[in-house]
Amino acid sequence: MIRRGFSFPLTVLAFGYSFLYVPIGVLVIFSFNETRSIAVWGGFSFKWYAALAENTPLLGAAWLSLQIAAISATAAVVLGTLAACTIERYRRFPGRSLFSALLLAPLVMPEVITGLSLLLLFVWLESWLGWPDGRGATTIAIAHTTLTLAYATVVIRARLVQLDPDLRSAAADLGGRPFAVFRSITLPLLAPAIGAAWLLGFTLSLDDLVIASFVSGPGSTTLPIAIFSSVRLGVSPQINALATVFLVVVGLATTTAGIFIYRSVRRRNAPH
Amino acid sequence: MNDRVRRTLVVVPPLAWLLVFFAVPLAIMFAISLADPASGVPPYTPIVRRDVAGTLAWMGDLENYASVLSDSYYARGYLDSIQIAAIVTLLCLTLGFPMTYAIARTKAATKLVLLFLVMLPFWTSFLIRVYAWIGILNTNGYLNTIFLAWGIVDEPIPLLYSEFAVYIGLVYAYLPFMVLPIFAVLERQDPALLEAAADLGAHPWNAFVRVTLPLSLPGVLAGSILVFVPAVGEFVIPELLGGSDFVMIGRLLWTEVFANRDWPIAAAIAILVVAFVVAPLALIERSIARRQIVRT
Amino acid sequence: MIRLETLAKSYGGVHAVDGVSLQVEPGEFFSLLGGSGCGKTTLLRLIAGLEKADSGRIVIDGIDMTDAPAYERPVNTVFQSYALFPHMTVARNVAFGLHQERVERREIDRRVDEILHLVHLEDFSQRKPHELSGGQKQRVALARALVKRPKILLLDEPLAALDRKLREKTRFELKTIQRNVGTTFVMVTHDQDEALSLSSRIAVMDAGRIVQLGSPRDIYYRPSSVFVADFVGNANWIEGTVVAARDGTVAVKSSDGNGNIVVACTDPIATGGTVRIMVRPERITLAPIRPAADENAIHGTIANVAFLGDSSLIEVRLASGQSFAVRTLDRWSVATEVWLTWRPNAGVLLNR
Repeated sequence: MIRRGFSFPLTVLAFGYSFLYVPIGVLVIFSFNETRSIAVWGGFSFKWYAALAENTPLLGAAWLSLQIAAISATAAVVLGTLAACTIERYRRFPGRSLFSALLLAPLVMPEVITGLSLLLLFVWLESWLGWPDGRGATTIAIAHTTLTLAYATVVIRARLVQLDPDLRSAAADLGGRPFAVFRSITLPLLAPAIGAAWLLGFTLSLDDLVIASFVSGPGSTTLPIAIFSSVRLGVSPQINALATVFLVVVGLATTTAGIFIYRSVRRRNAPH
Repeated sequence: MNDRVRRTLVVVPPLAWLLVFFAVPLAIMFAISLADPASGVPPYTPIVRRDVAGTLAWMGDLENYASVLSDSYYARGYLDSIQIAAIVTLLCLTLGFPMTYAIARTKAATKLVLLFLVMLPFWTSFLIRVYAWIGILNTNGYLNTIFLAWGIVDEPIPLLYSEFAVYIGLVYAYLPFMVLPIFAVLERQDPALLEAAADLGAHPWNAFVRVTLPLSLPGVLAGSILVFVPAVGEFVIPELLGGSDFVMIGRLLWTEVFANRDWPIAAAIAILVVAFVVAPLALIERSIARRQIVRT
Repeated sequence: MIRLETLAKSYGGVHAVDGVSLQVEPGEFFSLLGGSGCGKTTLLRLIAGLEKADSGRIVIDGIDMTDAPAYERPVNTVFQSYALFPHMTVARNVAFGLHQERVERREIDRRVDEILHLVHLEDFSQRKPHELSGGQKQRVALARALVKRPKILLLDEPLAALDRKLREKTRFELKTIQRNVGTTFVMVTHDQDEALSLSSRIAVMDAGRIVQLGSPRDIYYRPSSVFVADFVGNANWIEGTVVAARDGTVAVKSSDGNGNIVVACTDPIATGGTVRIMVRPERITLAPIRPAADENAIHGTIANVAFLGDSSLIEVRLASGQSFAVRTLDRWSVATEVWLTWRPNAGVLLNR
C-alpha cells in the first residue's frame, strides 16, 4: 500500500472533533484568565473560581437545580420502569396505542410547546383546584419528570427487550411469585439501564432552561435560568469557571459510567 | 393479589402521569387557543361562560388562528424556522454522515471511544455550549482577536448576532442527534456485504453508493427528524446568538408569553406547530421504527 | 401422574394445541416429538403453567391444576435456552427455587451440594453462567429444576444447544440421572434419535394433535400413518393395489411396475384398495442375484454410495425411476446391478 500523508476519514474526524471540542477548550482556558476578557490572554489566575465560590445566588440556584434533578430523575425512573414493563409485557389493554404515543410524544415535542402547555395546565389547575399554589420548584420537578420519563422509558425498554423472556418463566416455574420474580430477577438485570436512565434524566433536568422558565415562579431560579440571565447581560469569565467545573464533574461522571458499561459489555460478550 | 390488580398497579401510574401532565395540557392549550387575551389572572378569557340567564355559552373562536395565519410577521417566523431547521439538518448530515462513516470503519475499541466523544458534549450543559460560541464569535471575541492579530481583517467583523452564528450554534448543538442513529444503522451493516460487492467487481465508491448508502437511509431519516423537529422550535440559540430582529417560532412564542402576555395567541402558534410539523414527522419516525423492528 | 383432558390452546385463530388427551405414568420418560410449530412446546408450557389453556383440564397427581399459576405447580422445567439467571452464581441459581419455598438455609445448602454432586458440578458452584460451557449450563439448568424434587420434570429440547458429540454423551447421562432420581420426565424434541433412544413412550405430534402414541419400537417399526413413518427415520415407499389377503399376509400389485410385493398384515383388508408399503433402509438386503422366492425382490442399479463410517447409505435407482435408500455394512460400487430384497414382515402396510 502507498503511504499517504493524509486520508479522507482522518480529515473528516479531525475537523468534526475540532468543531466539537475547540469551543469547549477555549472556554476552559479563559476561565483561568487574569483579566475580564474571554478572548485575550492576560495571565493565569484562579480568581474567577474564587468569585464563583462567593456567588451565593448562583450557588443557591445550583443547589435547587441539583435537588430538582435528583427528584425528577428518581420519579422518572420509577414511572419509566413501570411504563417499559407495560409496553413490553401487556400486549393488549384499553388505551395501549394512546399510551405508546404518549410515551414517544415528549421526545419530539419542541421544548417551548411542552413548557407552554404545562404552564397553561398549572394556571388552570390553580384556578380550578387551588393547587399548585403559584409555580416553583414543585411545578419544575413535575415538568422535568414528564420530559425525562420519556427518555427513561426508552433506555429501560431497550434493556428489557434484550432480556430472555424465559428468565421470568424460569423464575415463575421455580416457584417465584410475580413480585419475587420482579425483585430478584427483572430488577437486578435492569439495574444498569435504570442507572443510565437516572443519569440521563438527572442531566436533562439539570440542563433544562426552556421548560423550567415557563413553569418557574419567583424565588425558584434554577441554575440554567441564572446562567441565562447572566449571559444575556454579557460574557464573564466567572461563567467560564462555572462551565469548567460543570464540564469536569460531568466529564468524570460520564467517563466513569462509560468505562463501567464498556467493561460490563465486554465481559458479557467474552467468549468461553 | 390477583393478576388484574397487579396489572392495574403497573399500568396506571405512568399512564395517568402522561395523561395529566402531557395530554391534558395539550388539550387545555388547544382550548385556550380559542380564547381571547385578557389583562388579568389568568391572562385569557374563559371559553365557556355563564351568561345572564345562567346557561352555558360557548365563547371560543378561531380569531387567533386567523391572525397568526394572516399576519406576515408570524408567517415569516414559521417559514424562516422551517427553512433554517431544514438547512441545519442538511449541514448536520453533510458533516455527520462522513464523520459517522469514518467512526464506524475504525477498530472496535477506537469506535466506542470516538462515539463516546461525540456524546460527551451532549451530556454537558447545552447553555454552556451555546455560551462558548458567544465567547468565540463576539466582536471582541476569540476569533476576531485572532483575525486581527494575523492581519486577516482590519477591524472586528460582526460574527455574533447573525444568521451565521445561529447556524453554527444549531449544528454544534444537534450534531450528536444526527451521528447516533446513522451510527446505529452503519454498525448493524454486515461488512461482508461490502466484501461481496467488491468480490462481484464493484469499485469501493460504487459499493458505497449502491450498498452502504441505501442501507443507511433509515438512520439518515431518523437522524434528520431528530435534528429538524427541535431545531424548528429552538429558543435559546436564536435568542443568544441571533440578532434581535431574528425571528424563529420558539422566540415568537416566548415573546408572546413573557413580553406581550398574549397566551391565547401563543397557544395558537404552538398548536399550529404541533399539527403541521411535529405530528407528521412523529408519524414518519414511528413508521421507520416499526419497519426496523419488523426487519430485525 | 399427569393427565391431560382435551387440552386446547390457540393463538389468533391458529390451533397450537388442538384437543390433546394423554396420561403420563409415574417414573416414565415421556417424549413429545414433532417438527417446529407442531404444538409440542406449547403443550409443555401449558403443563408448566406458563400458558393458559383455552379449554380442557390438566390434572397432576389427582389435583386439577388447569388454572393454577406456574409457581404453584409441582412441576419444573429445563428451558431450551437454559434461562440461567446471569447475575447469580451456579449455587444461587440452583438455590433460587428452594428460597421461594422458604426452605431452611442449612437444608438449602445441603440439597444444592447434593444435586451439584449428582450433575458433577460441585467445583463450579461459585461460577457465573457466562463462565460455563454449553454442557455445564445444561447441567445447571437440570440441577436447578431437579433440586425442587418436582413430581414431573419438563424438558424443552434439552440437548438442542449442544454440539453433536456432547449431545450423544449427554443423552446417556440424562437417562442415568432419570433412573437415579426416579422422577417422571416429559421431554419435547424435534430430534427422532433423541426421542427413540431416551423415551419409554413417545407421542408424535402434528398440527396440534397427537398422531401416534407408543413405545419407540412401535413408533419406528409400526408407524400408524405415512406422516409418522416419514417423520421418524427414513422410509422407502411403494404404492399399489391389494390383490390378495390371507394368512396374515397381503399381496400388493405395485403401480410403478415393481411387481407384486408381499407384506405382513394382521388387520382385515379388502382387495382392490390403494395402499402404500413402507420399508426401512436397514431392513433391505442387497444381493447380486435374485434370492429365494419367499422374499420380496426388486431389481435396480446403484446410483450413489455415501460412506458414513459405521455403515454406508446406498441410493438404488429402480427400473420405475424411483430411488430407494438402503443401509448396509457391505461395500458396493456405483453402477452395479443389484436385487433389493426384504422379508414380508419387514414392510409396513399403510392406507393413509
